[in-house]
Amino acid sequence: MWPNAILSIFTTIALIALPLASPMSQEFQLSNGLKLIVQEDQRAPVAVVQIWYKVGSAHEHRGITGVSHALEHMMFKGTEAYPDGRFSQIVAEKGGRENAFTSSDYTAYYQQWSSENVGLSFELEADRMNNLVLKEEEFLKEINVVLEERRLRTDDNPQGLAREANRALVFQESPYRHPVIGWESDIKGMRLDDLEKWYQQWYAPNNATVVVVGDVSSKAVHKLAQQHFGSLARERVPFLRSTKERVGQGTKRLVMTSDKARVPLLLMSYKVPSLGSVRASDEIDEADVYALDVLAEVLDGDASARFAKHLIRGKSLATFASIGYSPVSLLDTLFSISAVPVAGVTLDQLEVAIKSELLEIIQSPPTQIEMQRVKSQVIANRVYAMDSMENQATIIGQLESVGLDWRLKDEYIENITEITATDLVAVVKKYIRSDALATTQLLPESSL
Amino acid sequence: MKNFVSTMLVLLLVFPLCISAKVQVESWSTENNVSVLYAQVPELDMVDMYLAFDAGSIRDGTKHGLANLVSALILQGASNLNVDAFNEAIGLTGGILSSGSTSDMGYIKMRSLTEDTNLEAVMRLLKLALSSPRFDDIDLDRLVAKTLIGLDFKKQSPAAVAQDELYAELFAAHPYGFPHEGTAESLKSFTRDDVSKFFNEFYVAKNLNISIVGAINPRQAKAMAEEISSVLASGERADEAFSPPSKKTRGILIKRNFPSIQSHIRVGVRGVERGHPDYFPLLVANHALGGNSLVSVLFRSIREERGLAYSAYSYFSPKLNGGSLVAALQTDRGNQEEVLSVLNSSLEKLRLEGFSGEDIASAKDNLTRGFPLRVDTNAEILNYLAMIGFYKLPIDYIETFAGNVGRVTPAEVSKVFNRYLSPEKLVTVIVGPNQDGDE
Repeated sequence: MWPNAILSIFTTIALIALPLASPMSQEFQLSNGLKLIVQEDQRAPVAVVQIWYKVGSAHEHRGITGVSHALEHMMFKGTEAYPDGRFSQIVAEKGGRENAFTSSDYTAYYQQWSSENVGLSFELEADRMNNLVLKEEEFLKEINVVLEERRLRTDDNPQGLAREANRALVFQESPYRHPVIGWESDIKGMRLDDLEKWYQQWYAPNNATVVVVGDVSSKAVHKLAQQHFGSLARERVPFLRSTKERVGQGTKRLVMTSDKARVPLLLMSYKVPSLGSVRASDEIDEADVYALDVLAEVLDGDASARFAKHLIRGKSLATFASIGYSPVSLLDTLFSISAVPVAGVTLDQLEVAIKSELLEIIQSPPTQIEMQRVKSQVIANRVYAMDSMENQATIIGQLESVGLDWRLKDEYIENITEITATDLVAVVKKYIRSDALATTQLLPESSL
Repeated sequence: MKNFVSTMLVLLLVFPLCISAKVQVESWSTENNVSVLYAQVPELDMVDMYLAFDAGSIRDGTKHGLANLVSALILQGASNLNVDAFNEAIGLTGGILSSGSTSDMGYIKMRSLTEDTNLEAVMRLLKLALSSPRFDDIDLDRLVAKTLIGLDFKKQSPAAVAQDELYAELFAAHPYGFPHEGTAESLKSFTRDDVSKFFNEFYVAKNLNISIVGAINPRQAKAMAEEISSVLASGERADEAFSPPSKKTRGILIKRNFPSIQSHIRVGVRGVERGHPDYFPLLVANHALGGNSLVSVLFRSIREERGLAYSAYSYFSPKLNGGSLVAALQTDRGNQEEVLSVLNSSLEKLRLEGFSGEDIASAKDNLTRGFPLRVDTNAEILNYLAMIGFYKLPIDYIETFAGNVGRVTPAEVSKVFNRYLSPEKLVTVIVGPNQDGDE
């Protein structure tokens, strides 16, 4: 979800002096527990308004998987004050964009429009936080829409199916084993009542973070928030019990064949800590997370990183090879590699080559130049990331929604500066182990 | 005195225009006549540059996919730097160079911090790539192999198959009718000579437009544009774009079997180029039909009212030679007939009765009031400048956009809707399971 580069930011070995003024950001908390973070950005007369609820598929259990996402769809169905799509009509007429997204850790809604509409965003969001009207008839249609969405993203998409299967393989206890959209049978079995309960349980001001980035004044936005959200009552909200994923059960392996696939795919996922999970544990050093993030950059930061240089060019084994690592997660997460071989190379051969590329970090730790490259890129990315207000808001909202302080977006730089080549060697030894790995091979049926 | 003269020259050649209250656009030509658009955005210490060449797949001729391949090869090493050394050098600057192509354009984009050493280093590498690209066989082979795998990826996507089928029918022998990436056959035939020849013919100053956005002053922007344009051969301007063959389209239905659960449906017609008198009425018509996300006619009738699809939308894609307007959706095979009948009766109703006043008003309001959102990042401003420069739109395109949309009347929308989306012009493509039955 979150490209590593956005968070991986260095300062000290600055090839570039960074006189970048930190943007004007301020945090407020209403007496009902709602948190508001405002970042002023006067470049254009617009604003993005996001409201984040700390609920996602990680909070679900088998039987109701997908309920957070289905509820997100139903949140557009109206209230008594704004019935039947009135909300979306208003946003459209005023030139706005709106949408919502659900992940394992959170559900978020947003509007982007002229900054004069921030108060209207608040009014509409405060209204649907408490007054959503859930109708059976609308629900039955919307569940079909969700099933069509699942077919589009997963069931008709060989890569999607392989990724879903790989997550369910690698995680044993963690709710991250469930797909955000839900298992098909759970979606089909879902009832309006499940959504009703979910809405009552989780949608409360004290479980929400509002983020505003744009051409606004923090003070004025705070006032508007009090005006629109202030009267909502604090509610009792359940909390997510932390799970501890186990490693050491042995290598997990799944070989899938698909009559829909034309291109083979290799997925290798290692269980690793996230910023959220290290904070819930006394055993793991937070620096491991930063080192894993730098490791991902050294291997797959750009066209000169090791994967591109060695696997795609030097040995000509892969046509595509990339790493996903999202340190901003609630629970232990994945350091996952996706790769597609060139014609004539088997997935087994590619798997061996990737493993040796990972272990090569121990044999030949990153050179001065490699570390320098990563550092100059993360410094630059810090500036580039400021170009999009939406991006800025999303970084803040994600951090808050997994229980971290949004100010970490800047502190992260300090923390990551400490990372050395030796640290990378250490995290490879500690986490890149075959008993923390789940491999999924997707093979086109025609290739058998 | 010399300074005074050059300042005068700059003043004479610069036409300031407003993107918003906060961003002004200036335009001028370099000494070798490359037109430049520039907007100063001082807040972030970064600069973006967009080099748009008339070198898209429209210039492929019969070598389908060559433009795409050349655009990718430009940044695979330059002069004495092989691809590894070249990438490493870029990486160390913190800058980003990227290249690619569309059906009309071959482009290279640069993003850098404005700090002198970094910017100079990125510029040096970019100039090197433009003046002496290597086009090594090993890189050519690798990118061809990658593109071939990309074609296989498309074959496992019913949406991609439907799209290619639609364009093949709409544009027939015109380059728009062929896959942008090329075909397995064409890709395997390309040699280094093909690549060099294409590059030397089309990546020339006469085919270039430059756009620059960022925290640099006009003098710096002017210097950057001169540096870039002066490393290129002057060349010959590519022929005026040719029109799609005047093949008379007819209402046609194409069905393809595919091992999927859903059927992907596309209904498309030929559209118009930017600058055509029907452009703005068609833009509004498309927005009301399926462009105005959650409130468009297609979204409401297919998804909101019946729950038949996850995405139901349309897009209007103007190109040098006309382009297209396409409605797209996907649904379970079991719903296919119902979706088609809802879709066709919606179109029929719109032809007979036109859009409701509310739908037209909502579409126009969304387009005009939403415009500031389309230019609220440096990256988006850059894309707009590149579009204006490349498609030779009036320099006040952005300023006059709201007025141009605002003036569109419901009668004009009905007129273009009936003219462009008449039943005999619709091409319908269905890609999904069990398509062998009745036809």
